[in-house]
Amino acid sequence: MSATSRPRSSPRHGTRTRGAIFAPLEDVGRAVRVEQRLADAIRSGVLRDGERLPSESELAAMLGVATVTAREALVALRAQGLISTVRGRNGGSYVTRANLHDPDAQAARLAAMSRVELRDRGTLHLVILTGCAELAAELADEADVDLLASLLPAADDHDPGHWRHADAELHLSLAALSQSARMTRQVVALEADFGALLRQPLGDEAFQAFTRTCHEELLAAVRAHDGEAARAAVRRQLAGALDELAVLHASYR
Amino acid sequence: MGSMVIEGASGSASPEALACAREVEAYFTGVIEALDVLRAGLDEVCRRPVLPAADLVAAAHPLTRDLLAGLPLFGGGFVAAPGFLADHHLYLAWWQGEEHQLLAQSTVSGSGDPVDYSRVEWYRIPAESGRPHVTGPFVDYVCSDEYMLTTTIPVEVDGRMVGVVGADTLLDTFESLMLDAVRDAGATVVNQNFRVVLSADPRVPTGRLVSPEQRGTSIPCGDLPFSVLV
Repeated sequence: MSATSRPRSSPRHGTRTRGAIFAPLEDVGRAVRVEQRLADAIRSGVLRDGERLPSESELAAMLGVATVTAREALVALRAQGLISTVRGRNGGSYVTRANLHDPDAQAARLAAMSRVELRDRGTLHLVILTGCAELAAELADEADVDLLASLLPAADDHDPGHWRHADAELHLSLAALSQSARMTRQVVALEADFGALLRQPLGDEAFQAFTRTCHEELLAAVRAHDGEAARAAVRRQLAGALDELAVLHASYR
Repeated sequence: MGSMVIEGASGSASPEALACAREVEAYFTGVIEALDVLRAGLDEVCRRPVLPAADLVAAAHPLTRDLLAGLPLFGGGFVAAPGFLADHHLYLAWWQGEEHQLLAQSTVSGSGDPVDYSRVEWYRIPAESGRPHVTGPFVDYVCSDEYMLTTTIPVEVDGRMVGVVGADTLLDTFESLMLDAVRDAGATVVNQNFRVVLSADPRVPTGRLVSPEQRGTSIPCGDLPFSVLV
């Protein structure tokens, strides 16, 4: 995920309020204070969803604290689900206001979206992941397919958390099999943005069963180097998830 | 497999092809030797009866700094066997990038759960074989989100596997180091699955699988999971 593909303003060119957030701390810098200041800014909306934070060393310089202190604060913010970190040479930390582990926050976020926005996000997800599936089918070897297969939950496992984790990791693995680091970072960013919502339907056992069928088709297709079939299997699963999500969304509005 | 293996300097391979294989071997041998220094340096801390992550980080940080200063690596460090540390089930004392950021714990985007790296090749193969391994080319979404060749060696204490030490070489770096040798040989470097690492042919991208009928003559790169196809 490069900086150029996130056309958001840098926090360094902001208003006075924003300037205050990054002003030096007078006391010896403490990670907790840095964390609280940034967390407040995120919760209040001063730092916008998706906005890129300064790097560890930039933050440390702005706040007048040691780099390790800034790092510690970022780790804590990440643990709270308030930021997500995109790695790689052009990576960074981005504000994610929707807490990943809070169902109420997810419901509220979903309810705040229009139907058009939901489809819009879904379409981007679908096109990118079906493309990854097609490339993965071309480029995966046997060991890669075995690793993908090992991600699927056991037949008697209906735990929503396990299913959501497995599905997220399957998507990331598919992206990685494209052999493109930029594609993978793109999917990492997509997942951070929309993944938690997209996996709401996986709480339902019938939808888990449907997803298993689709993923098994996908694995067979990748093993057979059949790009068309791999693409179709991912498309079927994602279209199903988006339909379920649209129904859930309608129930909130 | 449609390839003929040439052992050592015998057979019909050109001197350039043999030199190319030696150059690939020499680079990773250097990485493995540097990892051995890191492993030896961590022996004392790994023998403590109770080891929290903070103590591991304190011991591994200066050693990893030396490792990263000495070679053109993107990152490196120690990855704990699941359950080895007293306070974290999964932990990576791993530093990477220009700022040498500590990784600590890796999570899957979208679910926020930690990634169980014990299944992935760079951990599993050295853990099972007890020998050094180089994984890749692969996009490493556990550590770096970069296209990588990851060298790992197992760390054992009294016969018990406690983790791996490893170092990441970007494919970008490998390309700049090896392209001349690969071109001189008119060769394609592949891994054990015949996935292209680097080819003299600009139409053959890194990451593609070479089909059995296109493999030709194969020269091993020492004990590494790489060979040079000519």
